[in-house]
Amino acid sequence: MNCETAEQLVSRAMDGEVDAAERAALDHHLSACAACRARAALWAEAGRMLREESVAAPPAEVMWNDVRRAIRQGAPALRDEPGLLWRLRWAGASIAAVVVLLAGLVALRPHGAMASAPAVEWAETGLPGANTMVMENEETGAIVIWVMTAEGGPNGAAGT
Amino acid sequence: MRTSILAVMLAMAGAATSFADAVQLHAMRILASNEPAPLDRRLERVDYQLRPLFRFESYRFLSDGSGVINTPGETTIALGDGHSVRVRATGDRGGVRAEVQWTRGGQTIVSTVVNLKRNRPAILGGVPDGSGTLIVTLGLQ
Repeated sequence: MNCETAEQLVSRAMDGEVDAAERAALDHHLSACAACRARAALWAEAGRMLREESVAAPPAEVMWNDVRRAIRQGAPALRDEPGLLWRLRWAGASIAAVVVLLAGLVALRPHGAMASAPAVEWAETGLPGANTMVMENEETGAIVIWVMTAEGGPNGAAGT
Repeated sequence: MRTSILAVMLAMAGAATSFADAVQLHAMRILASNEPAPLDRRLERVDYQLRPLFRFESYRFLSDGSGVINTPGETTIALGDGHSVRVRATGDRGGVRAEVQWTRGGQTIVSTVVNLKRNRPAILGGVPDGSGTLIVTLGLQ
């Protein structure tokens, strides 16, 4: 058996895919080859560490907070590409003009667009393991952003 | 063409910014609990908002603070015991779009973006604190 075959057998052995004859041949090669023996020991140690260092999945609410934060922060910006920027220059100027025009029209309206704006655009908590609940009380008009913690007491939002 | 677009942009931007207004914000830190407590006149302006919302027996005034923002702008209102509320506001004409961050000792308790109006305060809370629950109200004055 050469070292290349032994390496393949070591890999398969770690997955429990060698039979008795292959195991015996591998052991025979390892007893005579210090390099393969060292490599096999290294792989075995790496496998042990991976099994022991397994990381538990974070709670769903923490993952959801991360997702919302990632969405809010947006995707990475476009890389500078001279050709692309040149082609977009006039389109960008036109879009900017329209945006400014619309902003001006909104500002000039007798009643601002805030009337139709959502009361809460987003909310999140930085407390570990906690989540937020958002509601708007139609009676009082109040906006409520309530942090839901695992140790939360018996009281809380009474609902709307 | 470019000159006319630029002129329109400048004109409209000028019109939009001419409506920039100063808004005064008031924040209050309150401890809600089921322990009996006398009525506190400092809670008058928010008590009627809290009672229909929560089942707590009492609300205890802890601290308050105010800040003025020339929209767009930013202010931080200190509320004692390491609590503070940072508000970055834009918009005007009866409403303010506010990016709000309530922190305690550098730790963010709540981050949010709300659209405040004079009769539409934001009530942030739910954080257990001793025998009660912390609440921070934020409203326009």
